[in-house]
Amino acid sequence: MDIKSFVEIKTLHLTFVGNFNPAIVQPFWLAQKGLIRESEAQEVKVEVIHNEFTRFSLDWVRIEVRQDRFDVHCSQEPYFDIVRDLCFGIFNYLKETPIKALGINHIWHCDLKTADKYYEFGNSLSPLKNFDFLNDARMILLEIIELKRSDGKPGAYRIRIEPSDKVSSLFGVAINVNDHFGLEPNESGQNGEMLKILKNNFDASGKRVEEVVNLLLANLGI
Amino acid sequence: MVIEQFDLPLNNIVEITLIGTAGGYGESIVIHLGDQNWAVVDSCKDPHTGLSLPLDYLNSIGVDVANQVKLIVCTHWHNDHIKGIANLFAECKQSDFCFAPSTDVDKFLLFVQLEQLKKSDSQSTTEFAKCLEIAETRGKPIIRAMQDRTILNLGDDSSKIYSLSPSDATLKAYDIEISSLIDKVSSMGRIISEGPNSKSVALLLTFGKHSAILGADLEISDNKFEGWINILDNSKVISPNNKASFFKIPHHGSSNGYEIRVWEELLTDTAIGKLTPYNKSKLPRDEMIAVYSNHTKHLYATSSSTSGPKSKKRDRSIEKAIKDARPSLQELRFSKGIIRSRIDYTIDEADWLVDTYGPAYHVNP
Amino acid sequence: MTEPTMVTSNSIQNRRITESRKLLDIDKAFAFYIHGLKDQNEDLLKLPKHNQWIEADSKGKIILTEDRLNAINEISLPEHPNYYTLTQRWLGTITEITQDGFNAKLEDLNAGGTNEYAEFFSTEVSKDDKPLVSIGAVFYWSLGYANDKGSVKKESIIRFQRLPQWSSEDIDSAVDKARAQSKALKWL
Repeated sequence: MDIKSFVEIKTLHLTFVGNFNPAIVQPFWLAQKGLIRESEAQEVKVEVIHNEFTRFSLDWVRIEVRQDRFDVHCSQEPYFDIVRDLCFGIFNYLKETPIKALGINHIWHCDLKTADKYYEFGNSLSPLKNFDFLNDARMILLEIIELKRSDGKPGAYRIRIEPSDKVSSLFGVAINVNDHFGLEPNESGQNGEMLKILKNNFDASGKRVEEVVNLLLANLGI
Repeated sequence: MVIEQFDLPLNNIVEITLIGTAGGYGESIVIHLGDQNWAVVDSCKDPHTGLSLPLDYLNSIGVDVANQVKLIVCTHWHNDHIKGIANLFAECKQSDFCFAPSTDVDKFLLFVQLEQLKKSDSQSTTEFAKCLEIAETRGKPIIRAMQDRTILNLGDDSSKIYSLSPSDATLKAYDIEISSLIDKVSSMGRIISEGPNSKSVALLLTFGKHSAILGADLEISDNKFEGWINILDNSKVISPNNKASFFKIPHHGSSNGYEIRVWEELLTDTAIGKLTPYNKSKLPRDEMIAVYSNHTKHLYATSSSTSGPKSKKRDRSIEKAIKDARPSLQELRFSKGIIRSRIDYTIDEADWLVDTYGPAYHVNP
Repeated sequence: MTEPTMVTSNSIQNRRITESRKLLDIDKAFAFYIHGLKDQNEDLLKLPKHNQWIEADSKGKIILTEDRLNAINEISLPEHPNYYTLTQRWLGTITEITQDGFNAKLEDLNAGGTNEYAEFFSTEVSKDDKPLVSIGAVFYWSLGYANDKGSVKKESIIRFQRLPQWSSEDIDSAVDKARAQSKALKWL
């Protein structure tokens, strides 16, 4: 199956783990630094701004900041690079923020179109005949981890597959690829290490997701 | 003759191979100086594979790039002369590296570092910066190109390479330019340096009784102490008694790079002229082809400069969307053209043998 | 109004607010409880000193309690309803400013390979991005089919790259690197 006809929605989540001050990252601060348009700061949808939790949305991105996590969500592919630039900009201005880990998460919502293909997909991933002692067994979640990253960097590579209700038909699956980067033993996270990782790995991470999904489909014979 | 299979030249053969990419993707010159000593001038990349084309050429004919490439020259840091040069330099572990920084080297290095702040990998100084890091790691000195400098000497009776430019006057002007660029360090956007062409390193190669001039992108100048006029009037290594029989025509055959005295005073009547077109700017123009054809019957180009506009092939829905939203979108096409010239430099009366590959052709047979 | 339920974080978490998958109107969802809380004994509203009352935006007040903050933490709001089904993306660099706009070299971000060139018009650039238009400026251009709450539309988006300004520390660091390199490099 041609991957283009199979993938319907691509979303990007960037997760930074470290020590953050949620009250600082506000829309007007972003506009003042030139990281977003002023008009976007005017039209922002703010839900919470608090020193423990901040959440606001622009048209193309949602930002959630906790004291130990910084999450950025985007489901509009044209803005993926802009999201990367935004994160780069935010943490460039907040240089003193210690960041211990970075997760570049791509979730591809794929439409298998027919019940047969949907069932076959799950069955190929995990043969249900092994569970024939259950009444009408179904797989609802599979998670596989590459314990040592193939590029040798600290972190892990994790693929999670589960049903998706975001596609056109009833036969959707979400392939969630978590590209997780950690610090080297001698790194503190306070010297822009994660920013360098974001800059150097963002594009490759996106390309690898495409390879992963292609390989998975090929291995499953879909 | 059209090349079907590339091969290694014999030890007594000097080879000067010009690699062109139909403009936009750059040019490079690979030189065999005899006895399996090689030099490379500039670099360019295949946009599909990312390979450095001179490196790819050397590997394809079986050159031991780690040991046999003796010199890499970066004539100037325009994108179309520098892409892939860091990778090339990294592989050529015994090679010297030569370019022309401004006279105030510290200021030049600062300029290169400030350019890296732009956080974009597409600027050409990034390749430069990587080469400097490699040189630093190796502990090998960098050769500064300047007027009438010997940058490679393989021995008394062996081949030599001289830099003919930039002149002292050009380097002084370069210093001032770098200072003003550093002062103008701006928050967003690029530091645009004006006219790296004027700082281009033109080269003279001598091998036996033969010689060749490689013009890089050096242009003519209003200042007689810069550009081609300065070389003609003041160079001590150019000899009117030993005119060059080979000329790599500067700056894609544009009128900016043309000086009639070069042809009349520095080149033989039967000199070979080679150029790489730059399709985006439609260089060389027809009138310049006519001018060069008046000087030599042996004018070669790595491709035609008149390939028509075309769009990239994409998904039909996207193609339709492009046609509606952006009808002006055109592809800058890539095609690798090679002009290989060989001569037995041990024979004084030897002639060049010129072969072509891909879209390269003899312009005025 | 019936007697308000005593609010604890547990009780909020137990309400499955996201089951309906509608966008959550926080004020509406919590108004009952806030009103209820206000009616309670003031002691119940004692807040730890580090919490603050914050007016989140000019469109409405969001009054926070420790319980509610925990509840918001637990609530997972639905993702953006807008997404793209097919997109072609480019990274553009302005090569020339023209009377009507600019010309740019474009790198294909989807497939890589050869570059392209195109003409762009000032009318396509947002007012906020216009000051960023200059030779060498970098922008993202994408063309695609967007699903916006169920309807599909063709969209062309031009957005200029916004990267942080150089700080004096960045420049100092560049100066230091250049100095160190100058000491380390040898020249002939």
